[in-house]
Amino acid sequence: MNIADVYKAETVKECIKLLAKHKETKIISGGTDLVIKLNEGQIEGISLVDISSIKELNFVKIEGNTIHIGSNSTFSDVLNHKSIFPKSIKGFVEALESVGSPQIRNAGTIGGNICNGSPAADSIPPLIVLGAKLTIISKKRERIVDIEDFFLGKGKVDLGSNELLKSISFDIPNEDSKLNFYKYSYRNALSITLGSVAALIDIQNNIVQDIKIATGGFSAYCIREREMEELMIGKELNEENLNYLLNSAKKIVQKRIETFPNDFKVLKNITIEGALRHVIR
Amino acid sequence: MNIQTVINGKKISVNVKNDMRLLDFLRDELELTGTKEGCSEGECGACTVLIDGSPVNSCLVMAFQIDGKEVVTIEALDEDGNLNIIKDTFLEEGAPQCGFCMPGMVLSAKGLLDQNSNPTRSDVKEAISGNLCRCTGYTTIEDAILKSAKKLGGKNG
Repeated sequence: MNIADVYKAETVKECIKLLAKHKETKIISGGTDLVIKLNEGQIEGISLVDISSIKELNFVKIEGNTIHIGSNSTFSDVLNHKSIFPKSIKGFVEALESVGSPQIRNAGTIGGNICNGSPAADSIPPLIVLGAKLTIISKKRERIVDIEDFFLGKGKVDLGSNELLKSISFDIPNEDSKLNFYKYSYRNALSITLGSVAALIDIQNNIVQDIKIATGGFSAYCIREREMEELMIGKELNEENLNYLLNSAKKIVQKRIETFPNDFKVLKNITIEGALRHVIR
Repeated sequence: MNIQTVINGKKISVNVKNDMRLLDFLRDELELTGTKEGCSEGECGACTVLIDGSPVNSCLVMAFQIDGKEVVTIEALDEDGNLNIIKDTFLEEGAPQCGFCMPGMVLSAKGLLDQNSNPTRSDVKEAISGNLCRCTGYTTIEDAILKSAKKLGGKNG
């Protein structure tokens, strides 16, 4: 392992000062992804800014109709607040509960999950369908980005080296909507996600009034699946319409992974079909 | 980097290398070799320790990150004796075989029992879901944790 310098930030102000002053830095909090990469030598020679002690970024609060989560909140910290979350975001809670293991949930943070930009990040598909907004701060300015626009490529996100993700905010969906989440992995605990789908869905008299779908593991990063959504909006929720969606979804996914090995394609076919079936209800 | 930390109830001020994980710091610098290195990627739980009371994988934490925090390893003789009761009960129930996963299992158990004195079997299964055992299977381990809860004063047992 090769790390240049280590800086500890106790406050947001300290952190953005450090980020502005030192180049080639990476932020570390829970470390559940970064330390593996450092240990395996995938990342070398950088400096680390440790934000794990910044308490002001560890919060979960509901203001009016909006939920705000500090980026430094661990998955367990957020789940400790689940009793105050409305039923309409059940799928978000389930996604967090499905993360890794108790040890990973005690260390890993929601901000880290987002900023890593992993295609398999469990918290992101639910946050995309919730229309979450990210508040990002640097020494010079503060800006707000739609989470959907934050991802630029596998492991690439719209976050400058001088910037820090402060918080994640989303509005509580209306009472008629429900957020469903389903993920495929080889086992219940300690497993990387093979594919996950979140759907925020409003069904009235068996007609899909509105639906937002986001997937993880079916693209280079977690994305909103507008093409899939359009196939269901205004449609009756019956076997015929659902089958049409599932077949189209498989085609949409297959187009993205044309050059991949066959067994990978088969796996993605099974997981997109199964996961969609679980969430569209 | 100089850090102030508490390891197994003892306050220490120490210099840690930038490139050292907590696991390596515990084993190589403090010679607390009860904490085991398994997979080194957070998938086996053998290196589990408690940081500020919560079970975490010490292979995924940098040593400098425990500055201002409190760490408990399997070597701790904690003030309330809970850890010793859990250890003894694991032996009574025949939970260890090769023993490699035991330090992590016992600390995940302590993490659970410190928060929840009356766990159900399902709570126990969830609490040790990040700890792999490849010898005994998990039944005797679950039994040991449930029995520990009873000994420590819970009602379900």
